[in-house]
Amino acid sequence: MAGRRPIGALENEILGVLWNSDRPMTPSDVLAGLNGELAYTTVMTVLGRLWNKGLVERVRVGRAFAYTSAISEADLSADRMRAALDRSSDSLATMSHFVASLDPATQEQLRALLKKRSK
Amino acid sequence: MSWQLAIPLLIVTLAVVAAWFAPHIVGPVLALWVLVSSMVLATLASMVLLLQIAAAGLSEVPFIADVLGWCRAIYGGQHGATPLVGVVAVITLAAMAWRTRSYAREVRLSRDNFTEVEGITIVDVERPVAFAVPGNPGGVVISRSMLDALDKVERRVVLAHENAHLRYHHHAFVHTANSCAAAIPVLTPFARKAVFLTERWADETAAEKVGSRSAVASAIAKVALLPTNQAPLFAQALSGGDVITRYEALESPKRVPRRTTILAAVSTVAIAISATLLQFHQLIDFASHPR
Repeated sequence: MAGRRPIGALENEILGVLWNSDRPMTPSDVLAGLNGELAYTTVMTVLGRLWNKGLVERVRVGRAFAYTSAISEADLSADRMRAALDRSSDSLATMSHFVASLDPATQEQLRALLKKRSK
Repeated sequence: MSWQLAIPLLIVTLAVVAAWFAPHIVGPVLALWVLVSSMVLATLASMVLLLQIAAAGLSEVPFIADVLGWCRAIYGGQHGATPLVGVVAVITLAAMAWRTRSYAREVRLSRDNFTEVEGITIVDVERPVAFAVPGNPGGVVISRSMLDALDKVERRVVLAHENAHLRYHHHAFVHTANSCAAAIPVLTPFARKAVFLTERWADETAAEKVGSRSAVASAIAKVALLPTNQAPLFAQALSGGDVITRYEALESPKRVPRRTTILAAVSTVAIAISATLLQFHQLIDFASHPR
């Protein structure tokens, strides 16, 4: 059912692998982390793109580069997008959010639930 | 037109109602398929029935009957519906089409803000946002405030969750369901449930990716409770309650559906398909044998 994954999804998968590791990873390490689902060259290309965006740092290890994630260095996106995000939730109404904004009552309800669980 | 002509639509409606309960007996993936496909079938069946009413009513107008080469109606309602009822059916169909188009435009406008998203895009906004932007290349937008608030595992959860939306084309399910709800407003709660099921699906995918369902649950709770994630009361998020349901679903043991329940869910769709075909058959039947 997965089918071919969209190009945009590759960066996320590869960054997910880097986030999972404590040490710098070479492209072949990343490839192993992906269970070999991608071609080596694809991994290289995507890592290069992540590096251009400042989402990863790299150090030379022998003949290859090893990559680590570097969120704090990342380029922030264009103003246009930020404006869309700031404007209102309307411009985001048709997007799938990780967690929607909650009203105070629901937050309270969730807090109570967490407290009950931790007991 | 006798009310019996609406029996197929009635059956499809029952299937949609049954699909509402699918999430209680099968996993989110199958439940979403069952729900969205029965919504589509209900929309189709309604349109076919309206077309038939429109055809019956309008064919009683002498001029139209002559053009179609059908016999003229001697008394109002002889073909099954009076011309007035036919006009109402035409207006209803037009309204359905118009509302569906407006929804499509709204989606396009919303997406136009994010055409430059490719892969991961980090934005500097105070709200902890993370969402998937479908399309090709498509990608994920995450706010730095979200990443800063999360630890490593939680970040992976967010990424895996959004990636599941992209990878399994969840936007296609959501937009199909919303289009049906735009055409038939009573389906709106069903569309909301479809959105909820894509979230559940993505949660379970993320749980597999990080190897822990409770890690996903706690990431959801953490983001939900960030002070910056509070919506003002007037903009009460519809999915507010959904967050709690998602949390509870992940904290309770994973349900493994039995074969009989899977069969029941699939048969619901099969019955709805047959009923829709029957509704369509009635329209063809009417068009070829005008009474």
